[in-house]
Amino acid sequence: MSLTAVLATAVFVIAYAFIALDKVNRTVVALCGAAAMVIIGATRGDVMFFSHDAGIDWNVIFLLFGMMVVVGVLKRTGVFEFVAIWAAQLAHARPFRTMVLLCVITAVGSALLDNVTTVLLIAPVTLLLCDRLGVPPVPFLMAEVMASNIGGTGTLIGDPPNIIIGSRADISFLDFLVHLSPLVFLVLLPAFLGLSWLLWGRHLAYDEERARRVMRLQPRETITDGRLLVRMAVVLGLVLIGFVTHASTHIEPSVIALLGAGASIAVSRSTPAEYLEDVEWETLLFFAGLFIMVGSLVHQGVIGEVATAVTALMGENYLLGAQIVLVGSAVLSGVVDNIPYVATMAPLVRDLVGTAPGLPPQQSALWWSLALGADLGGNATLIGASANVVTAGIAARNGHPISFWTFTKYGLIVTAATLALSLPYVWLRYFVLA
Amino acid sequence: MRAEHLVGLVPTITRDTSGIEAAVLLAEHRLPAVVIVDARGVPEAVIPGYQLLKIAVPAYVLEDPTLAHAYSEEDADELTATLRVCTVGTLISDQQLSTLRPPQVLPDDTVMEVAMAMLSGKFPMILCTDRAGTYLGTITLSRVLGAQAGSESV
Repeated sequence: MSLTAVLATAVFVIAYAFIALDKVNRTVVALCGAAAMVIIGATRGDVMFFSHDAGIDWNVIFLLFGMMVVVGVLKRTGVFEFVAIWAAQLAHARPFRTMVLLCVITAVGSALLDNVTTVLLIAPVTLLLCDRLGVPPVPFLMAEVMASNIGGTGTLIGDPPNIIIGSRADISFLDFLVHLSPLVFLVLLPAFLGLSWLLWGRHLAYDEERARRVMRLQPRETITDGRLLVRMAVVLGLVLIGFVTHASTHIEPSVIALLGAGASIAVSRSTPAEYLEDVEWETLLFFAGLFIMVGSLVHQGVIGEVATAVTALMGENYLLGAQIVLVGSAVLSGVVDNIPYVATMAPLVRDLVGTAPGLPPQQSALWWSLALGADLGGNATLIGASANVVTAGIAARNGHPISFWTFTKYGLIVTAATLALSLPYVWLRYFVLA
Repeated sequence: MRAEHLVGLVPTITRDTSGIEAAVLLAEHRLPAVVIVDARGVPEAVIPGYQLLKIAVPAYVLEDPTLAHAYSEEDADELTATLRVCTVGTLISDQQLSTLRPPQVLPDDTVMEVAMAMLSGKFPMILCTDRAGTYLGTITLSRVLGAQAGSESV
């Protein structure tokens, strides 16, 4: 290993430690790490900006940017608030039934949008419903964010780690639907809802007078712009069709998201200040810094050497490899944010087995195990996924703080249960029935 | 004209006053803020009116203003519940209320000095106290503008 490669590894480890400790703003750390990589000569401008393997993954950056604009316009219609209040009234304001419907809405929303945006939209209306019902909101918020992380696992755009995996492994939106959605919506979500009853649902009391306060809410009033809602439903529908068919049309998901963003701006006639309001520039910069750091390791051959060592250990035993990746990813994603974890692991898995198209099922199992482990492991602790941190922030601002250990106590149970179902799924689907 | 000619003596509150009494005081006297005094009658701070309004609105509605539309008239009328049950002192301790310390002027300060004090504080109300710090009254923006324009509304 060259001196530059050693220095690059040291920069990466130090930056990663700072990100994991969460004492310094993670975007600042990622950008400082990227700057350090340039200074030590681990990467160059042409590599950073134009290399598909060792540079910034523009597909990920622009897919996130485009979807942020689409969601920013969509949320102005009030449709999320309408659906949540309507669902609570559909459940006759019975607390557990309301929790179930809110979790399903959150899971589906997270699959179609992204989980941070979805919890940002669902948390305030949940607090309203719990206030009206006179029930503690913390169980509802924890259940929703966990449902969000589970639901987001099912699609390419549902969780940022999936966007990275999709781009690095050349996995299409339809592939994610075919491989992960059945597990998420037929197995994990029903199992999670059953677990929610045991953990929280059976402790929720029903008060008829309180329920009437929910039934008096006026969901239709939350639709602030009906015409925009119809137009945005069409735009979002076309974007989803674009995602589903992108393997056939050969239009990149990032381009589809940008077209959707453009269409959203056109139909809403938003000003730049309005449509850029919901773009999380800091997150996009964090991704860019992270890609430069990981790309520097790829460029210096560090990832390749690690992959060679892992291949020597694993040999042809892909089942063991998939199980280690699944469980290991879940454990590590609980300790550090799953985005930097997957950004690091994706090049490693690509060096191990290559991109997904054309791979035998036993080898492609490594990619699906990485996605499952990283996404589901995000439920283990409060810092496991960005959506958890965002939800805890909203809860605290409303006088209902969620401590690290309160979340972790339930998060570990949910993660263990979902992993216990995912392990046999991967084994059956990619090794026994393949 | 001097500050003492612009002063209006409006009732003050203490930390033991309930939130709703403070709100009523603001409404009756059409004030932008209400003055809190200590046991000796010395002003501690002022509470801007919008702060009291903010307490009446739940934090989750502030997070997502669309939710304000979901309330029926009957439910919206219940929103002053927090103001009814809490004293101003409790609300300040719980950090639900933020107070301001507006500039103070002396009774013999000129209108120009009063205007500059108001502009530097960026708040449409200032306090008038004597040299010992005793509260003499408040001076509002409308009184200063009225005085400068020579309006009869002063």
